[in-house]
Amino acid sequence: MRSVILTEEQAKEMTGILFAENSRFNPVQDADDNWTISEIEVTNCVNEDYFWLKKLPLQKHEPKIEKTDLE
Amino acid sequence: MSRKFFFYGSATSNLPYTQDFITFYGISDATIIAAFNEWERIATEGSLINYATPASNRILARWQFAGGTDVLHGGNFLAPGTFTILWGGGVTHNSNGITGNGSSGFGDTQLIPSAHLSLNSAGVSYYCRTNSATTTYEAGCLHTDGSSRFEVITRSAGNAIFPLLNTTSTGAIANANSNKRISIQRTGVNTTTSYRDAVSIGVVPHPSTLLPNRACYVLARNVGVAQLFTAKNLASFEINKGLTAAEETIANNAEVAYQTLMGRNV
Repeated sequence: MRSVILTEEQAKEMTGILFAENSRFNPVQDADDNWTISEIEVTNCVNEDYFWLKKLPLQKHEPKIEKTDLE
Repeated sequence: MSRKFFFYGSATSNLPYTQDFITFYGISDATIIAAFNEWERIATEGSLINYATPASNRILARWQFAGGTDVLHGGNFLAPGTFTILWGGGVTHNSNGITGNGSSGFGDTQLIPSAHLSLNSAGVSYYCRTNSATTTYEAGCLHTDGSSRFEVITRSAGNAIFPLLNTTSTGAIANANSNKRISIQRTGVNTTTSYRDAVSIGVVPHPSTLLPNRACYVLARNVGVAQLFTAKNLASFEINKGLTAAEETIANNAEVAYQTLMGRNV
């Protein structure tokens, strides 16, 4: 899995914005607390306002570990 | 709206739910239409859906995940234009349905249990094509005060299914398989049954307490934001009204027939 890194401001601004007809950006923090957008979102983005994402370097994504409150 | 009529002529299906859906979304693929027809035929003959009294349908909403796009995969087969799934983050859409990236991908069904379900008659079902042990949510939501759950982890890292519907309880049942049709159904105050391929995995006595007031997500859990994202591949998704064992068998028959015609049964 790969992603691109955003600034916190970019991440907040992009959250919920359509990148395809029925798909919205959902920036998340990685294991190092960087704000990121997944490669899937970048690749499938048809929103011209965000084509700049396609120029950012993709890097290996290390997900932040989430724990459920069940176990 | 009562449904008593069959469509003929230029229509490509003579079954009303299929015809409505393919018209709404402009679907012409013969394989997909044949699969929709077969699902509808079995579901109708088994009284899971009823043309004359749709309010009595045992399945409240169903997403067929056919067509390979975010738009088509968002459509509720039983009422196009309602409960349309809004996708977020990294979700792969293809002929096998939807696959989360395990990090940010989810779908918002817009279906809020407290607004649309009954406390002791509720359920979630999906056809999962991935058999893996990960403590991630295939679907769910938490009440805004955290007091009640409507959620499912199919096969946790500890090989257990968490069938938690309208309850504060958190107990699980051993489960070492997450593929095929997975279904959890609350049919009473103390009765929630889990099924895989129409075979009971077990019953939990979790008492019902409250219907959560957030929308149910798929591929993650809704706690105000999406969290604990699954990377599993789902090929259908349903919210239903507490199916009995007999109804679950019919639903599974329809599911298997559908997925087989779609060429993605596992």
